[in-house]
Amino acid sequence: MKKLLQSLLILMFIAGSAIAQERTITGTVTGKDDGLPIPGVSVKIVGTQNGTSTDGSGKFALKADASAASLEVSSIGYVKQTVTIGSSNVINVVLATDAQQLGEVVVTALGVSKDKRTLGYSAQAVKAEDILNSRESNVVNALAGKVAGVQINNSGGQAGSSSRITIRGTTSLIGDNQPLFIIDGIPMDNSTNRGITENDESTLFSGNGGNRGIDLDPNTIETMTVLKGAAASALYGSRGAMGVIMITTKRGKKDANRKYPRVSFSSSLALDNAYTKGYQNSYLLGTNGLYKNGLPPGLGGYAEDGGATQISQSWGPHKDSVSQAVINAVGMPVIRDPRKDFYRTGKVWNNSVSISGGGDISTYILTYSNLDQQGIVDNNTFKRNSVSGNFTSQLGKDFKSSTSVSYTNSQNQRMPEGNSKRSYLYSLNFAPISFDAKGQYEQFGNRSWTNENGFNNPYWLINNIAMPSTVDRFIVSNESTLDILSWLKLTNRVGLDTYTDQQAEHVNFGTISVPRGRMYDALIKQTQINNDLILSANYKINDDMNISGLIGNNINQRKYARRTVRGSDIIPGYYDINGASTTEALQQDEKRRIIGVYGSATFEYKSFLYLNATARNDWSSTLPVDNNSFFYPSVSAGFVFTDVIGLKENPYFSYGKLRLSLAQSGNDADPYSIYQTYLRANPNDGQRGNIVFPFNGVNAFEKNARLFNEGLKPEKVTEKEIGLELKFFRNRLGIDAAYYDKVSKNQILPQEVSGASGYVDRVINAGKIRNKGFELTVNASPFRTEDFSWDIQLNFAQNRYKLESIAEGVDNIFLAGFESPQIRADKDYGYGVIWGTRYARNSGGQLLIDDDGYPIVADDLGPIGNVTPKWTGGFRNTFSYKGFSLSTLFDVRHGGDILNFDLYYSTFYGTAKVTEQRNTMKLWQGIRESDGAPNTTKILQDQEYFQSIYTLADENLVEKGGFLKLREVTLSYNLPQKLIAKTPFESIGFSVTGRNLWIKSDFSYGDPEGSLLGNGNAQGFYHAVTPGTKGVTFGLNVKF
Amino acid sequence: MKIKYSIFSLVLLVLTTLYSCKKYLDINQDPNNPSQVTEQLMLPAILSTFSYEVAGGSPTRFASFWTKHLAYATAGPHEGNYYLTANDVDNFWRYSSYTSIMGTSVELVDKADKNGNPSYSAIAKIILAWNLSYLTDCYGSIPYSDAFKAQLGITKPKYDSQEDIYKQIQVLLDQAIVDAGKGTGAKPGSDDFIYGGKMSSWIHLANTLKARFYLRLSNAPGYSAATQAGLALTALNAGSITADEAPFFKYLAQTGGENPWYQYAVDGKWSTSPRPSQYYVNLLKGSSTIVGSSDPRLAFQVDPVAAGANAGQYIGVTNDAPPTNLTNYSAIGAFYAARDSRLYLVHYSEALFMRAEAEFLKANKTVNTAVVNAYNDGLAASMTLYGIKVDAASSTAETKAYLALPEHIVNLTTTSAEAYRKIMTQKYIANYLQFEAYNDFRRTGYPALPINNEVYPSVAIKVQPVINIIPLRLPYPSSERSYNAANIPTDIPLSPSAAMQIPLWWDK
Repeated sequence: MKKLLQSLLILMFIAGSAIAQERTITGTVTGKDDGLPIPGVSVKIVGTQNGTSTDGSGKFALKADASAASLEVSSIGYVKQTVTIGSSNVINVVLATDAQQLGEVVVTALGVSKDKRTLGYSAQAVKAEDILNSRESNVVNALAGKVAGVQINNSGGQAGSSSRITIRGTTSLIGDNQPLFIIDGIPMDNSTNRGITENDESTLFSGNGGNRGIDLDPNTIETMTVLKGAAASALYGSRGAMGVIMITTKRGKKDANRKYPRVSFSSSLALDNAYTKGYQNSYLLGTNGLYKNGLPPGLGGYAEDGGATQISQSWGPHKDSVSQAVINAVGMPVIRDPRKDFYRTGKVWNNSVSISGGGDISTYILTYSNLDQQGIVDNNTFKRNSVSGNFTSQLGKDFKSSTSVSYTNSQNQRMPEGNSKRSYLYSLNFAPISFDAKGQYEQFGNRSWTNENGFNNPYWLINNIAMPSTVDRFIVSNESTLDILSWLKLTNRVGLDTYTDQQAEHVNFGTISVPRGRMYDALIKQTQINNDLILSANYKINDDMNISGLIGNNINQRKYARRTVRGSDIIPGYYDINGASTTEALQQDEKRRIIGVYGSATFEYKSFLYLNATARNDWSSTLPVDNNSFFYPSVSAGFVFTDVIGLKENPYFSYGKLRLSLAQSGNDADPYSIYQTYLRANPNDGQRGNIVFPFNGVNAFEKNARLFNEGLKPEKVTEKEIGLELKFFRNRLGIDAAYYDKVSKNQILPQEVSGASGYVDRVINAGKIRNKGFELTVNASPFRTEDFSWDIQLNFAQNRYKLESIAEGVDNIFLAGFESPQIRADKDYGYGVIWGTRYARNSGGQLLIDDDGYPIVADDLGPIGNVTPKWTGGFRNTFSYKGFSLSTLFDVRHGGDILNFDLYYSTFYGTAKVTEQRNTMKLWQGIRESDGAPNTTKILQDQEYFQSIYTLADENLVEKGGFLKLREVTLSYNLPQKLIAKTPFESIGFSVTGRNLWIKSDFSYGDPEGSLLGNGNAQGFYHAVTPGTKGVTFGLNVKF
Repeated sequence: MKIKYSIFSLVLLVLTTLYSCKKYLDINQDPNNPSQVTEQLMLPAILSTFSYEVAGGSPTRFASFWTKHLAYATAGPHEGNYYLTANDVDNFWRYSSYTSIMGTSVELVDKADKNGNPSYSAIAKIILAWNLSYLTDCYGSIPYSDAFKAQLGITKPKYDSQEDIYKQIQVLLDQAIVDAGKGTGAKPGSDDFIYGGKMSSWIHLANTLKARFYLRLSNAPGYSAATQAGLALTALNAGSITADEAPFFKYLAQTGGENPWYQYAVDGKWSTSPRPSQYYVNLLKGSSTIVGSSDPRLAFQVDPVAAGANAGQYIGVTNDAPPTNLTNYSAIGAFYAARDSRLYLVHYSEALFMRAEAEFLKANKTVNTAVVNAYNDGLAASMTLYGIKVDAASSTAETKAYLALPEHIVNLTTTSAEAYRKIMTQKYIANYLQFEAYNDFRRTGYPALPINNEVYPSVAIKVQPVINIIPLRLPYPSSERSYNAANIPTDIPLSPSAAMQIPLWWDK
């Protein structure tokens, strides 16, 4: 730190001695469309080599002698302009965008806008309309298929579900791997909160709520830029290792001629329907082909075999061969589709209005948006109200201040999912086609086709179980800039992101598995304060050379607190904690701080060579106090080789740039991983029973079974990247390719040890992960006339993951699931391996079959799939004709498996599609173990086969998770200007968007996007998850 | 001017940051979990966890199926018909024993010794020794001398032989008796769930356990039954538990405080399949034609069927799915499995049956008056536990008939084999749902239990037991196979079903 201080002072002295004395022309370059300043614009005195470029605020200052007649102002992406120099020393220039060129200014780390030309690493931006047109209420989902190397995994079809986003594969073995979200320069929390900890109740048994990025109103977003590699995010130090999503919100525009503010209004209604494939719809409730009607004994209960009348299984007769005895006794059973009947048409209303404008010195924008989503399941809703505003003012000649404030209220009413009788899917997915669950619920409450030890009625569940959540969130930020000199400015950016999440669980009295009912009330508070103080300079050395850079300091504090009261044995239907017979208080607190000092320098030579170096040192509170300082450097270079070889004005190949970068970033530890603690005792049997302390007025603490580590270091990510940008045919075709090699070392992970050592695991630094990958983005405009245009964008990404080593003695890390099957990271088989029971095979991979014709199950567990896709891609076509525009986005995920744990049960209960083959013969292809001859014995696939043999091998539960889906198709129409010219309207547009209208997938449920464990590391675990939806959205946009 | 301001503010900021940096970042102490706790907070943790997870937990559940106290009324394969995986036995080893109970006990001993509180040290040593016995009686060789040393870098502790473990157990109990007698330092009170801080009772318990563990080696290679019996009698004579000192853990009739058998088998949160076995219910029901063959303890150990066609009857289950609804079968008796039932860690009757056996073995397996008296006392104590009157004046006709039946009488004319069988059979009934019944069965072969392949009346068996003997041990757990494989004794195979057929050292 001392060294840095010295260099800071030296810089100041240089600054002091460089004050100019001559006539200087100054000015600001702004964009015609938005009135915003444009940084990096080249300003040159015509006929000389004397020139400069604008700073981050679009300002320039240029020495000129008397002979100077005019200025040439140019920037890639804008139409070049020549301005006559008059007597005034101030020349402001307004540049119009060049339609032939794509938007080239990108927001880079710390909110610095840069010409994409100057970058030595890859960064990809997504525009406002592409986010809005996806019509997703969770902004993370809106990125799906749009950015190469970014993978989005949606956790399911419930309104308010979470989504996972990973950039360039899995960087950290057990870290959360989610990128840092930055909104207008300040970090924003995107975590998923639960009212109780994983220890108190596993996500497996309740599912997961939304990631808090869901609080973002997509209507306010101007662009989202994805910083993928370590070089791009190195300035974020220990927080940038997983990549960064930079969100820039919309700003008001200067428009002094307007009498009234600009008003824009948009409104949409979406209609969603569930995918309900994957079930047999021919066989009725019962067993061994005999019918049971599922009603209780003495209350209309009937069984064809005279035994129990209720059963959980659909192994009854075929609907067309119900016996006369049954018809005589209870009439012909009515057949229905329990899944289809259960889901309703989901609706999303989205209304947003904003007013904006600006005068000479200020701009403003105010937006109010309301989203009201009714999920495809009754009582599942998500509602979001948000108000946001930005006010930007030039408060003095050299002082500018911009303040953003947003308030969001998000309310989610969610049903638990997963492996629990409280989960409605755990009943519904195994419901028979011959039982009127809805009718029974309406008349008798929680009565289902099973007895009191079986399933809850799914209709009863959705009316008697809920997990509501209400979030109130404020994000406030201010950025103030003082121009010290024409080339030197000081910026301070302070931000606060704070919210409360009030969560609850209601389980009514009378629920099977929780017969006396239970509840909890939880209040979660998250607060993040972040300050960056940045001194930045942009200094032109001579005509050919420019040097720019910054130094800064960052202070970040994140605080988390949760207070939960849990009660059991409640008064029916009453969810005040005072109604519970026993109560328990749970609490969790977390606080972490980071101090960072950083610097960045960019050297430009003749606008074709750009060299950039950054350095950051972090001090983190989560690391040992005496060893908490860590340094992250990066270097990158951009070389526009076409300028050097004279192709600059070439009509066929005008632009070629090579990028190279090498960078390090890191990842500090979780809080409280250093010092040993005691934990409150909680005797339990690992299944469902436990003793809660304080017990009978006595409290108890036991040793922590995790051995912490006082010598912990941060994880270190080193990434090399090489990239190529090419433009052809007057920018009608653009190609951007990147190859990266990212190595993560010193993984912070719990190394499992022999329990006899006194601990279950110990926290260590170990392990090495390598992600190598290739990304390709192609933009093309194959056809363009005055009225008609066709634009193509293609994204492709391939990531190869390799777990080069874990820790000594560690072969795998459990990510989620059960002992078998589970999702794990495995030394030999990589990340996201599905591990479980499988069939025995010979060395040639052929199945071993026993003498009766059944495949033999192997003694040991092994890899039966991998959830990681081979490659992902997106393909967008946009056709515009006059006011019409048709855009389609195909999203591809190739390879990758899904563990569909539903099949384990639905096969047993006879509702799975595969059980339609019941009572047919099957020949298992393979080798007879006894004599090595090919198997020729056919087996009968009867009830016993499906119930006792088929699911013994977990490999039968693994399905292909790849898909090709028409993620979006949008048809929009803007009324022609001449029609509305005489009206007060500025523009009127209509749109119709289809979401997921077509999916090609081998997954039995149709839409393979879904994960019980939400946005955790273990993706591909599909079990009792609300199915995906398809829908159509009708939208209206009006501006006046 | 501007520059000066900027420099000034920047320098100020950086200096302030530097100055307070260290303090500002020193916030990494977990606010939710203490870094130091007292003995008073650790003692209840080991007692409650030992009671819930061990004495009423998975080893006892497995044992209860294998000794036929219970059966698992669900279509197999499952633990009821001897299907176990290395994962099924992992929690008991890794979480319950070596970390929560024994790991905390070792720390508690250190802390109590350092703070001069020998009473706490004594109790922790008893629990440590006791838990070690459960472990070695399940797995055989286990780590101890090398265990609990991860801080020193030993993450793969070597194993000690069962013989050495039993020596260590006796050493720990001897030390505990000395510590418990010191009477200095802090005394436990309500934090001692078992005896409320009454250290003399802990000494009596330690003596009783010593006797149990001496007897355990009655057939061990190189050990003489008579010698072990003599040692056991010495321990018992030094002061064993009285009827009032039988240690138990009292549970509460509230969620989060309920008896482990209730939570496991009765409350319906997960499964109500574990129920008294058909074999055991029939054994206690006796024959309708033999007067006195019906055991008066049946009504306390087993609940009659609550409702339906079989209401009021005692009907056991087998290790297979029953032909009709589970509610048509008996559940574990409320004495053991009501919400607030006590969980006995040792029954008083066990001390008496141990004396009967020890006197019997000491006399070279012959019956003498001491054997007869101890046997009669044991049987009476077992009845009295449930409030069954055994004195001639107030006992019921059923009890009288039971006690009078020759099958239940040991006297000086009873043959050696018959006497041993009767002592151990009565101890087996008295130790209903106790892990000790499984140890006694393996050690003595009494009672002569058949394997778990019974069927419901007029129903064929669907799934045969996985192995064709009653399991003799647990397989080593998966975590040891994964993280300490090199130290596992090589004579115990990887395959759980093969491992379960290999006898323990003291059972050879």
